[in-house]
Amino acid sequence: MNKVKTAFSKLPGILYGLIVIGLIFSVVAQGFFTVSNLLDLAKSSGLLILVSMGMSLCILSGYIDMSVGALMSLSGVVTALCLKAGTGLLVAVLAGIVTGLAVGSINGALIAYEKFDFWVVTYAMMGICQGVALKLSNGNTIAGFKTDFRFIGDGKILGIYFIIWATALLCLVMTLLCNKTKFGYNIYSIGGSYQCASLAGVNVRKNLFFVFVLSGLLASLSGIMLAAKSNSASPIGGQGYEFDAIAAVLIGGTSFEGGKGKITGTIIGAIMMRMIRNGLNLVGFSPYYQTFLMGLIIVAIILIDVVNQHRKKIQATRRVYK
Amino acid sequence: MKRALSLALIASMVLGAMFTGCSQDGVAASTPAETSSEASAKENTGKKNVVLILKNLTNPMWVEVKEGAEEAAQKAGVNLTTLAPVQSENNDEQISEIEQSISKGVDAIVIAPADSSGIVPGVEKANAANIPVVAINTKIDTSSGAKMAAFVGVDAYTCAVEISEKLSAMMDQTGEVMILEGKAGAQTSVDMVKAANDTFKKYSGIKVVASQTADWNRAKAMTVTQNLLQAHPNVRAIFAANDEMAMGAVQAVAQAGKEGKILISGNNAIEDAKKAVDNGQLALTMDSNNHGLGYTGVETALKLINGESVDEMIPIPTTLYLKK
Repeated sequence: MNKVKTAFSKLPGILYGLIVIGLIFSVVAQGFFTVSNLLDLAKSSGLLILVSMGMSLCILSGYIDMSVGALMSLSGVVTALCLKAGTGLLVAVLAGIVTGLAVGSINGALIAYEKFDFWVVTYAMMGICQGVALKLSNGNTIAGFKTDFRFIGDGKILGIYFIIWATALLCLVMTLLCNKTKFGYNIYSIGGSYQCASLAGVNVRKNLFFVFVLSGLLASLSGIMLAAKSNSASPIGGQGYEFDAIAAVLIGGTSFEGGKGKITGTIIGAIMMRMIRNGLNLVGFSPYYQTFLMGLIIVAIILIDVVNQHRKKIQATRRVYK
Repeated sequence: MKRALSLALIASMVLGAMFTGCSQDGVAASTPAETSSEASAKENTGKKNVVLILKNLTNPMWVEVKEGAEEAAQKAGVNLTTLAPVQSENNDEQISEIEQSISKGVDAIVIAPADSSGIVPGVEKANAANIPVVAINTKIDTSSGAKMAAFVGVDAYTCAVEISEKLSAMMDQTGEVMILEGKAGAQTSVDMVKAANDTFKKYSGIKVVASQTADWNRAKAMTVTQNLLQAHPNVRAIFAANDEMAMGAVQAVAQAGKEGKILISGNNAIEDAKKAVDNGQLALTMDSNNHGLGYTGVETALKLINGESVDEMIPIPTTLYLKK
């Protein structure tokens, strides 16, 4: 029994919130609890999950990457242009990924090695990526791809979308990376205290560099999938994803202070973001109320989390003084 | 743990109550009898469901379209749900909204696509589910096999040509012109700017000296216009891709003390803009009959649900709104 209890307590508290809200929507939102809707929901969550996991690494180490949304658009546009130029699927996807790696490396190099302020660097990079994406596409949406590329977005393996499989795999990799590898531990220690980590012999710069490279990589993957999913690469398609990703990370219980939080929480946070929108749409809520309610629900979730944390702290002190 | 769970449950109950409570003044509800979700579910089985998906709900134009659609729905006694992407003109969000509508089981979809070709994956799904799709304001790209039951409205390119022709005539086919573009990458903006450039190019006396985006936004348009007026003090006319931006330009021009010297054109004929035209601050705007667009869109969808045949192209007459 105790084993079960500890296993449960290890799960992020936000999971209960997800289940509760899911149950409410199943009752009030017609068409929510259907296979097709849940698959569509998982698919659109997948895109946000990828970006959020990268953002999660950044926030865990005490930084933020504002460039991910624009980078998504840019990677999508680059891939689309390659496809339109007649390159093979593999080359086009690789070009998109290389874009992400390049932008991530520049972010990483400037922030980790040159010690530039991360807000300034990633904000500037956001503008640069957005501008290049608009210029490359002349502001137009590049649309209509062959079936091989569209398979990435719409294809199913064993009845489940390819995007969902890919996301699941990446979730597994990232969770292991954070919880089981030296790199993961280093991120937590850098986020806890940059100086301590450095004194303890962690190669802070190298680790930070790779945090931003990974964030860029995940954003580009998400951007390519977005293009495949909508059969079109819009130069503004990724707009707003950076804020959604930050919100997903925070909902998932990761603190802005750095060093505290879990990647699993972020994954659930991202699903939560998309689920609330999906459910509210199905209920038929006016878009005016939607953003308002979204904010309200997020505050409620964080409030419950704070109360929970506080209670745990009190319990811990009680144990000490017993 | 128990306390956390109970907290979560209480929060969920409150939220649940809000859903059912609020959906009454939401667009979906129509009769006061709908006090619980059960009741509305029962009622839904009898009534037809139509969903209206817009480009955004921040431009007054789309609010007018929504009102028109609601009037048509109320008259015919059907449930109408209005949706719009949180990020204005986000194609992916619109696709998700189509998918959700299919899951919900609507009888028809009326949509103003953010992008003609970008929306295709969503339309294909609706086609597969045998749900008729009516496009308003912006056409759906049918070249790859997606089926659009009908198109209601006049496309942005045609509208913009008419506006820029009138503007050219008003400036006697000579002088410098500035263009205020809509959101970068948005199709309506791309089409309108192309139309304006194509038209102005025909007249050798007219020179487009600047073309910049102001994000469909009044405040941004004011700043952009102020900056551009510094660089191009001799401008004769400003072509704004919507009325919100035109109104921003009006403010900037007034502040620069050039009121009456610069001709400004808008688009959509929102209330503010019509007043400005009557006052002579704005040269012209295009009345694209937004109310009629929404009304006819839903009306057409209802005809399709009832199995009546409709025209593939249903133009909504547009008129230039000029000073009387």
